[in-house]
Amino acid sequence: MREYLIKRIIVSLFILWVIATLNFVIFQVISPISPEETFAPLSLEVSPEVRENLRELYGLNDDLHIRYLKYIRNMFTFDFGISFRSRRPIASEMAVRLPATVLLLGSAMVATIIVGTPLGILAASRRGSKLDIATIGSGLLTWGVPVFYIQLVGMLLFCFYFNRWFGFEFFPSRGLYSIPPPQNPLAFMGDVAWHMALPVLTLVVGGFGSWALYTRNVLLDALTQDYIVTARAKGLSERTVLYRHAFRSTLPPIVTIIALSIPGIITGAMITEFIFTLPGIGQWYLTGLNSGDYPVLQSVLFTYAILTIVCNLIADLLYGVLDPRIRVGMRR
Amino acid sequence: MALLDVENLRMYYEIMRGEVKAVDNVSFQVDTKESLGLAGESGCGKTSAALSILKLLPWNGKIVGGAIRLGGEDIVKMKDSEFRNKIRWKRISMIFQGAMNALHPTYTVGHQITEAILKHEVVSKREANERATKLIELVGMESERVKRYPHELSGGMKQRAVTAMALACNPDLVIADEPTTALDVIVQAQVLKVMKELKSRLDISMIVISHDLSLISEICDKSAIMYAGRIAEYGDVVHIYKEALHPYTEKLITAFPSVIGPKTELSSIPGFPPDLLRPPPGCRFHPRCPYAMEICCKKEPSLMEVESKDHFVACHLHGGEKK
Amino acid sequence: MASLFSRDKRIIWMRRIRNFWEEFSHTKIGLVGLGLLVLYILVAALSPWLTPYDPIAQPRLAQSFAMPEWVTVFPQFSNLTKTRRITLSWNVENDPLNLVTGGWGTSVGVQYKAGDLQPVLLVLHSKFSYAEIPPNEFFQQFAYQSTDTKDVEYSVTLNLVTPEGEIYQFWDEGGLTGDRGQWVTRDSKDPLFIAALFPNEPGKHLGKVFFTQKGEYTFVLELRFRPKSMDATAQLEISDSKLVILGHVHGILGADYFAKDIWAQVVYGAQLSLAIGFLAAIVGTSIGILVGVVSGYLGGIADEVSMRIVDILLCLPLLPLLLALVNLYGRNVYYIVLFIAIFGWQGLARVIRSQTLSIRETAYIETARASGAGGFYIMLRHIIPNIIPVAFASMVLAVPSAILFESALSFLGFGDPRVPTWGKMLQHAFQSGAFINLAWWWIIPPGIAIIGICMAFVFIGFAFDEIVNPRLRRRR
Ligand SMILES: Nc1ncnc2c1ncn2[C@@H]1O[C@H](COP(=O)(O)OP(=O)(O)O)[C@@H](O)[C@H]1O
Ligand SMILES: [Mg+2]
Repeated sequence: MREYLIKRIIVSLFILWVIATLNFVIFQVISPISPEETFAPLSLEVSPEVRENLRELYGLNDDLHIRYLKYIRNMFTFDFGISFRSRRPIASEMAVRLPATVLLLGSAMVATIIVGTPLGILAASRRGSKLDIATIGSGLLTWGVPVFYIQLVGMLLFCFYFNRWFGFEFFPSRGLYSIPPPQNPLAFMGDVAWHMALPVLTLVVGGFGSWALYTRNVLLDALTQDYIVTARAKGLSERTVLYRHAFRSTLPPIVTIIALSIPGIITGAMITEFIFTLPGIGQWYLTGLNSGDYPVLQSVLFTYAILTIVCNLIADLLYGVLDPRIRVGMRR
Repeated sequence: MALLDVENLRMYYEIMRGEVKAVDNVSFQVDTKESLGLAGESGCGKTSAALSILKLLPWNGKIVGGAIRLGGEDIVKMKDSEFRNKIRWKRISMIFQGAMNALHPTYTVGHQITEAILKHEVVSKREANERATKLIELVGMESERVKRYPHELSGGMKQRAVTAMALACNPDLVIADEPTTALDVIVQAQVLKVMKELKSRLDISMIVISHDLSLISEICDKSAIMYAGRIAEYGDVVHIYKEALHPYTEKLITAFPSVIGPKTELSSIPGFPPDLLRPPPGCRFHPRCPYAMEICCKKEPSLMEVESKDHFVACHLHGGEKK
Repeated sequence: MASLFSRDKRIIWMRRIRNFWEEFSHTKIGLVGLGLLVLYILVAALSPWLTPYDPIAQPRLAQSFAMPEWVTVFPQFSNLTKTRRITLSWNVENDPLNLVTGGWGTSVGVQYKAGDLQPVLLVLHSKFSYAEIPPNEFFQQFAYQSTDTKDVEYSVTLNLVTPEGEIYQFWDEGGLTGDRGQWVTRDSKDPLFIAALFPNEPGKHLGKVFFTQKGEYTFVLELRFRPKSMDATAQLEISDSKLVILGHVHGILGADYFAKDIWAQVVYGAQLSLAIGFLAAIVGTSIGILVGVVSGYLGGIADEVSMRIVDILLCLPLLPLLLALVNLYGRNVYYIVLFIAIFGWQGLARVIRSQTLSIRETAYIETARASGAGGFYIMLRHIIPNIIPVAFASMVLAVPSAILFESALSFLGFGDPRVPTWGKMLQHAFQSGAFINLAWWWIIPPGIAIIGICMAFVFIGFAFDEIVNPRLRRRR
């Protein structure tokens, strides 16, 4: 176990190093935009000395290999530098944006699971029924329907058409809270919830089908196992068979999938944030892209990689806990 | 009155291309404390017959005719919930084919045994645990194995655990489906010993399903030989094993070497069991039968009693008077 | 090598394909998918016949946000008009010196030769009638070209006279000397035009001002010549005079903000989507097969390296990474396709690798190896044919995912600006006021088109999966 963990950590560090290097190469070596170009708005008015100081501040005057070494050191000490655009530390910038993103995708994920899992269970327990076919259908649909399109249509309907027909927006079409925000903290929370409702709802509509289909398939797999026949033979009720026996053995894969989809929280809602003008990580990344603010870009990519690795490890450990057959590291 | 009386049972699977007649007009009886062996090649409908008795058919399987009477009551007509609460495991339990996969991988052996006890009897958890431990000892395992997960047990131990589980609620009838298949010879012998012991110590009836007649002759009192969904020969195990009448039985005996006893030349039965979607006309065995006569491909032989008492055979070679 | 394509092999393959088709044709969902795909392929192939308009370069076809023509069947829209192009043909109202020499109609040639020093006024008029509801947008155009001017000062004035006799000046240019030519366009949305007519009312709705009166309208064109000497001359040609009253409704799916035909964009999008989807899927699947087979078959370092690469790729968020790369390397559709392919093969490689491992263990490969066959030959001959079904099913599902990725990139504004994909349409709609204008005919169709093409592949892929993966098949 310990040996495994050590090996695992070494491999993870290696992967992180490769990704950090890749970031460096993409954004700082072969980038056709030279870093000082991103100061364009500044360079118009700023004197050469100030510009020089800025380059010094961002460490752009060193040789490439020195920069690389410093960069790697910084990445592995979670020092992501300073944003070009706002000239504030990346970490604090990220901290400002994280809540919106986590709130958005966290609640969407929870809602998707809450809606999708029972649907999948029902579909599996009534195989071939209309509900089952509907579940398969909605699962297939999520493969072909872009979520951002659902969001656009939702926005058209609930914000713009509602406004035309009834004179008000059922859900707001932009922002995380009203401007000015309500003073009362409870009212503020309600306001945020109201602003989050449509983005979250549309994310759930776009995603519950595949979740339900996944649950259904693993559960059907479990239901065809021999030990399910044993459970039935013991005279257990169909309910007990379904939940205690069949569903129990689908927990490891389901929990794994959940753990593995957590890193997606960081970037998964980029388009949603773009559409609904939510000040989250995705929105931040897009602005970073458009303004050549590469410290932002590489920090987001690197954070995603760290999260993926951590969640993979957690998934492995959880799998081991939930399925006694598998010792840690045997998954896959 | 027999404990279990299966009469003209027919069980079909519906598949896209038609009906698989897995059990076709099968009748047999099991008396109290008696054990019946159900023998035949794989694919001839043994498991299907057993599953019919427990009403545990796959979604495409249907009992289309016949009666299964347990203590005189027809369980085919019984309501599902009643059957589940009163019969399953409490009166009829089963040791499934492939015990390897019959245990839930994420529950301990003890949990799986107590679960059955708690379902059917009003006892405390503690009592149930104690009983589970006793059962585990009964089948010859150390008591601490109750805390083990199935994957921590060897194949033979899993088979014993499954056996212990089958005995959890003191059933009247235990069906053991291929209890020794997929085990190596030494473990087979151990399992056989356990079963024999159980039979002598507990007052239960058994149906032992196997393709291995020698195993059946070791444990059972009676035997039914199944071929292609039908009974080919039925009667006292000694009669059948010593004086097999049906050519298929003969083949079956020579095809599998006895577990205990002298080693014989292994000869497999030529040809394949028929496709139960479209079984051959007449006697279903005739395409593979060395003694096949003209009548065999035309007329289906019915099960008839032969001279010796309680020995039935469905073969034109032995066409005595009807029972 | 020769035996790879021998007759027997071909026959076996033909039979396999026939069996496959037999099974496929029994899956309802697969046939639906195939039907949809055929529909899209037909649309892609017949695009020029389905719409007269080019998806990119189009004249102004209607007002911006013109609704589809068929909405006029609903009573509340029944009075909406289509675009009306009126060619203004000039008639002489007053020709003092028989100046008009060229033909009548849209093109009028004027030959001026001063005999004295009197100013001369030539008045032309063009009539049309208008009885519909006023348009939101219109524009008026004409061109004039003068040659052989000598010692003359001339002016061009265009007025519109409404049925009720109001006069609005469209164009007045005086004091002209020398040769010159000019295209004149007066647009109802042009702030300068509005300001010239209504200095104090910017944003005045000219369509309503001019065209609320039903009846006969007259454009009056006045040409004045002031000679400076006795032998002053001028030749003036007025041409291409027209009035375009832009419709409230247009075509099958209306027009977008840029007054472009939406149907044309939807139709031409099929070609692009199919091309993008297929290209990305083929390249991606090929990489997946290659990596999977090589690492599964060779094992050792090759395996280790490629599986680490897969691990690394799995640690990168796909969409942000694609956005960054596209942003760096240029918003070029070929790059986009390439990037989608390069970062989309990890899953398949893993599956193929494990399949290759199990095939490798089977006896016949051992025999092939024992008989001295080379590694490349074995891969080609034994392994590839066995993984083709899985790879094919995966490729079919890679197509919609590539299409969805491209549309996401385009929607976020990182698509190729020269390539009008459906995602780009949605981006334009989102950015150019389709929502505030409730232009559902601009928002809904591209999305439906994306969903349709993706579902075609998803359905086919699902049917494939059922056939290729027997475990799934038994479930149903
Ligand atoms: N769920 C099912 N659907 C269709 N056919 C089945 C199903 N289960 C078993 N069969 C068929 O029924 C026949 C009898 O099977 P089974 O009872 O398992 O035989 P045995 O236990 O004697 O090996 C076989 O031909 C088998 O293919
Ligand atoms: Mg069986």
